[in-house]
Amino acid sequence: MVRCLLIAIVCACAWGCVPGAPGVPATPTGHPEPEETAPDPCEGIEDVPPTQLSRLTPIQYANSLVDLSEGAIAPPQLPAQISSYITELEVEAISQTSHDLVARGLHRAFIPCDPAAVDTASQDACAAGFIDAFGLRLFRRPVAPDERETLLGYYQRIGTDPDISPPPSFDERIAAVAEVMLASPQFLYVHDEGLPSDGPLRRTTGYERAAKLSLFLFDRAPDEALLALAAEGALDDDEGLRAQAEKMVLDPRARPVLRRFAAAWLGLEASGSSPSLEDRAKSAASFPFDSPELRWAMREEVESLYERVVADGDARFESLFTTADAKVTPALAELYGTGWANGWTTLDGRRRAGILTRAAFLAQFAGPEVTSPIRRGAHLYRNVLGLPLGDPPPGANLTPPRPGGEEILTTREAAEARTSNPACQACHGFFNPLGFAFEHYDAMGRWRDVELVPTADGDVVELPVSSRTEQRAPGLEGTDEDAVALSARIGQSAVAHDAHATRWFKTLVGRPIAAEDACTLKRIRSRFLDTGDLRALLVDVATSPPTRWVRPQPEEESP
Amino acid sequence: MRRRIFGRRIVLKGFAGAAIGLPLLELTHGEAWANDNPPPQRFVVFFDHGGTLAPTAKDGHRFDGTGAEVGVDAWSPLATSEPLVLGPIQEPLKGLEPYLMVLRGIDNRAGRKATPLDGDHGFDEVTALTCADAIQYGGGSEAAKTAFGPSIETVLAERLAQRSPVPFPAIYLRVDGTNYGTPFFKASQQPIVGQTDPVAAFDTLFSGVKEVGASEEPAAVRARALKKSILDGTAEMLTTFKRRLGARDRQTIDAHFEHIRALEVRVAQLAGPMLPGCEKPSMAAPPVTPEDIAYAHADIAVAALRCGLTHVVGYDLCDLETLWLNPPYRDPSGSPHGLGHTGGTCGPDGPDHAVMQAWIDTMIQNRRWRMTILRRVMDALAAIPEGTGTLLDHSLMLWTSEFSSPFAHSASDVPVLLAGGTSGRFRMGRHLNFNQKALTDPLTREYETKTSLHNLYTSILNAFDYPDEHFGNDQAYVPGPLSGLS
Repeated sequence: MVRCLLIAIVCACAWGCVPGAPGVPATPTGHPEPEETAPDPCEGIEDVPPTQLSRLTPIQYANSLVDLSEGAIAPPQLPAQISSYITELEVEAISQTSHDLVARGLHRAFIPCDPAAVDTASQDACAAGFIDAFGLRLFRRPVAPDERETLLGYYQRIGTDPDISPPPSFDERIAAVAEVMLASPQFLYVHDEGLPSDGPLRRTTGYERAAKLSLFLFDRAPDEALLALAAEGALDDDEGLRAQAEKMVLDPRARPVLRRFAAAWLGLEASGSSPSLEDRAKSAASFPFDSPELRWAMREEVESLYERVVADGDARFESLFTTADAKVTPALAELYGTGWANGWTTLDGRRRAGILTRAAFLAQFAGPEVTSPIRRGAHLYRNVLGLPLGDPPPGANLTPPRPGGEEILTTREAAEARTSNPACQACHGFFNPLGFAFEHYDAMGRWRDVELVPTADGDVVELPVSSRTEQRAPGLEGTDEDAVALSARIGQSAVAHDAHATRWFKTLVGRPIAAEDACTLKRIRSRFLDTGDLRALLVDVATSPPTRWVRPQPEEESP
Repeated sequence: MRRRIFGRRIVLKGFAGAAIGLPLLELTHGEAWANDNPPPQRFVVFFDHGGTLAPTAKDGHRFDGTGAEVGVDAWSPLATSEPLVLGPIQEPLKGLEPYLMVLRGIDNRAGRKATPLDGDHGFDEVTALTCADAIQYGGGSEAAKTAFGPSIETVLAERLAQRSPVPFPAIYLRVDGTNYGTPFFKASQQPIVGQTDPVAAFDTLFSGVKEVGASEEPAAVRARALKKSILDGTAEMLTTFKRRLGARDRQTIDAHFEHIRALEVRVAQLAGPMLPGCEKPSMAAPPVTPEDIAYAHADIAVAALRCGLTHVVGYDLCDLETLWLNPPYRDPSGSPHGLGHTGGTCGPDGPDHAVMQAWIDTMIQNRRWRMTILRRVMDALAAIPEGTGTLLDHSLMLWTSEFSSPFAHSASDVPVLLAGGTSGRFRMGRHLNFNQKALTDPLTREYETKTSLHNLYTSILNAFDYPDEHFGNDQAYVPGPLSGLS
């Protein structure tokens, strides 16, 4: 008895999902904000936390170099970032990549002279010109005087290095400078200094704004045209910044960013403890039609759908949860039971409406043979509704509840039985019903009206599937007949709007949300709830205070 | 110098040994003999993610096999002291007992104290080799844990490289799979993740290695000088950049700077002569399966040690799905983590009791396979002569995990297996249990210990002739080295 009680306490605490706890909406609407009539404490407040150095992500690094080569190189691969500190593995990879790219002539287009023909007297000027031109693109701003001095000093010194025999040619000296620049922190790290303003915050420079916009909306360093706008001062005022962001949201280069966001939002990528959609184990006996091509089609469908709604469609958040549009391959069309189709088609909206009713999400959050309503529900609770949820407590049985048994239970019934004690219900009671609504889709995402349940004596019985649920997730309380109805309510809910806006904001700032972000987030969320417009959300986020302001890092006293 | 260390260490060990009833004279006698020899030359850590098959609860007591939890212990040796009789999981190491010592009754005390849950995923990984304080940063599905101190192999790597310079103070190799964080840390909040690709690891380690006796081509000498010059230039740019930063960001650049300097040292060191017998391992066909990658990494580690490229290897073996799972696991569950958990529900009173035997068989087979990696490394090191013995004689290896029991997430009584000849520093071929309840009843299911990984790592530093009195944070039950290892 005592042990049961202990387990109960651990379960309740470890999931950390008790409504009313800090960060958990306590009101029926899911809005933690004060009532409308109260004075807005954020009125006129713009703030950002102290600036913190960040590195280009592996994708930003690769895209930036591909752009520099004008598409002539394959995207270089860097190890995943696991800390704010760079690792030796990353430094090694950057060093080798820099060497390889220079050997392939990545820098050559930026040399303002012909290295083979330039006379000795003109070499130094040519080197300086190279440093300025290459540096502008690499450092995302003009090369600073002390940086130019350092690089020119290196260029001079390498020519007389006694260890390098015979002495390097002019061409080799330029190549060495290029390698240094490609491995330099000015390229690899994003650091804002800003310009003085009236208050404690500094205004970001036009170049810093250009870099923020491009890294966020395109996942790449700014191109020549954007740097030119920065040089002209076109991004210095907030109107100019917004106008540029509005253009960039519609640029084709924003589309891969939308797709990557969608994949991460839907949990399709691998993490240390979970495989990607492509590596998710499925039973060959239960799903003989499974194939790498089908997995590819599943991912392609949902990434394309997000892109289509935002970039080509009405950009309304709720459309993500109601659309019956689908981009299918014949194999995926067969899984959906639509008859042969290849490309964009329209599904039966009574069974599949919205991105959550698609195979990618449904297969990723399911076991090898049977569904996992608990995992589907937990993902929706945490990532789509943005509600806090910890890890399962130690000792929790994480083997997916299996249907069957002596009482012949469906998967849903088995999950309900597994989590029926009050301690488990303290958390599962809030997110299980989200997953139960999807029980009409099997572990690969196929529609089903009945579940084939094995009995203890080896037979199989057909049991009807139930997807009717009473939702208890804060901000989403109500009754749903099925996933289509639930999806539609999610698309209209304040809690999901808030979660989506917050997720995009975190993607931009690339750090945990700080207390100084509170008013910024409040405004972004409020506008998104009013408009429901995903393109406007991206513009709001891209032009928010973290793009426009810098708070200098406090100097720490020496120990 | 050595005599001073000898005197203090032996006194410490003598007192601690007396505390658990071991004869002081025997301890000092063994230590005096050991310290006449040079210390071990190399240190290898195998980190085995996901725990082992042990019925250990969070507080260290052992499940008796009558409840929902499985009570089977396949890790503990079959004899309670010496000679060592290997446990079922250690069966692949049969014949190597004189080079092995199993230690029990040791807690990851830093992990247990890092969270109110008495240790848990992430916390136990980042503390297992650091014995440092740890925190969680981020939230929800993006939460991660980090430690505020270096791991034991990093500390040893830096010291051993000072004692005897090598191109790579340490090398890190990872067999990728399910994991909740790396156990390796270069410094506070600076995790290290090993190279997962054997081909890339091979290229990094051996591209600069020349055959013994071969002279270096002038072009290679020049290329190396150019490389060193470029690293110097990069370091200058780091210095220029650092001037613009606040105090916190300057630390980030300092860490980057250290890596650049490490690359410079490596470039210089690779110019030196390789050890006799140095041979590049064969990498004819790139391995694909996790099993093949695991063996390839083992071969690379041995070759790097043999060639004198490094003194220290961190081998990170993630929790793997394998090809030999028993029904109902033959169709991979999609989560080895889930597999580990099943032991908490397939005991006699558990809802999954029907699969208990299959689960036990699967766990033993899976963990036995992991032991074959250690076997491969030990056999290879034993075949390489060094002085009057072999590389194995002068090596110290550690095999451990974040958990004892995966289903209980227990950081108590974590698996600790020492291997190698240790240059005679430790008296191998034994099973030592620091569970004080086991003093009177070696088979007890009760548990009480005053021993933690802090003590083990202090002993390891001492074994390499470093006179540390303590390793890690202040969460050890008691400071100082372990008693009775010599």
